[in-house]
Amino acid sequence: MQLVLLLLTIVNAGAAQSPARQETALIFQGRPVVIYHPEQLDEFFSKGSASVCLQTEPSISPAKILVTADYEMSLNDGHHSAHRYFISTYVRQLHLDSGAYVYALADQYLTVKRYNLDPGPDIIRSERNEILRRVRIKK
Amino acid sequence: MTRSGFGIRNYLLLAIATGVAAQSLRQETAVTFQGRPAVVRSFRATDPQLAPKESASVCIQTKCYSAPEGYYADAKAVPIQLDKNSHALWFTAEAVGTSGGSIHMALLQPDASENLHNILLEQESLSNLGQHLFLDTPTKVLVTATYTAGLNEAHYDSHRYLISVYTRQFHKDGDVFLYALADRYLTAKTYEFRSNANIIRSERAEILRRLRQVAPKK
Repeated sequence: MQLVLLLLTIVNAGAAQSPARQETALIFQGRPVVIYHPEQLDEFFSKGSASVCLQTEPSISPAKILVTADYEMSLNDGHHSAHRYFISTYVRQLHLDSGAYVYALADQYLTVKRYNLDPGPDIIRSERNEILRRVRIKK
Repeated sequence: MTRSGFGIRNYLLLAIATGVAAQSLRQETAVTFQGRPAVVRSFRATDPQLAPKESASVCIQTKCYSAPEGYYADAKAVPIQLDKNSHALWFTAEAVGTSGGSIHMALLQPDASENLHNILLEQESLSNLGQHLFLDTPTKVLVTATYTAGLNEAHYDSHRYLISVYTRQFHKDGDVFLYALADRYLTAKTYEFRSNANIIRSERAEILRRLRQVAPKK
């Protein structure tokens, strides 16, 4: 089962004054993962060096949960030094207005620990216990 | 009154309706910062269709700090004692939108040449429905709370808030300090939108608990 990031360039044909815009889509098992307030992910994807994964956690949701890790550039951090990360957790929920299931932000926090940008530990795996602890508090 | 004295009081409100341009009125407020008078300027549109072109500003004598373009309304400047020895001027100005406004925040300190510098590293704005507070710790900690619109939540429902904590941090190359992001998290609790609850005071214990984890071990 693979999660695919798809970068779409959308050109508004016939509207010369409207510039082309880029949108990112997450595809899982051939279907788009619908995000509530997708703009929350736009900045995340634009950085290009973040992690995203789907995790199975039946105690939280029967569907997989989506977790992103996005580095934070702190004062005195060099580009290649270790960074703290924003962890955002999205849980699949029913959108009452549309009757559709969407992934909505369930939690966000900044890691205490610093992680290297270069190939190193899987940040999301390392933070798994804290991710689940925080999401369970909010259920 | 000496410059080092901090017996600061807002002493005068001058609401001057002078025609800077046909579509705006200028309002001025006077405050005292480190013994010197500071003038805070903001603008009000006389035609709701035309936002003022001028930005809000604060000036100490001839040295001014201006908010970014579009932030013209309801400017305020409040002196803050950051610790025993350092002071700053907390400046806010609002951009008025159709469905709520956005607030520009700056923490200003004069340098040796008396130019006003914003020592808040992150140039983020705050929703006018958000809150901010300086926590009364030995060195002041700035905290902001911004509501997040959760799934199936209406505008006036209870919301969870994104808490951002800014602390004084020294630059590695010298003794210059800035206020930079030290922590951010989404509250577990929801707060009623119209309750006037002080979210940051309610979250104080969690803010400080998390901050202790982040602080370098001595």
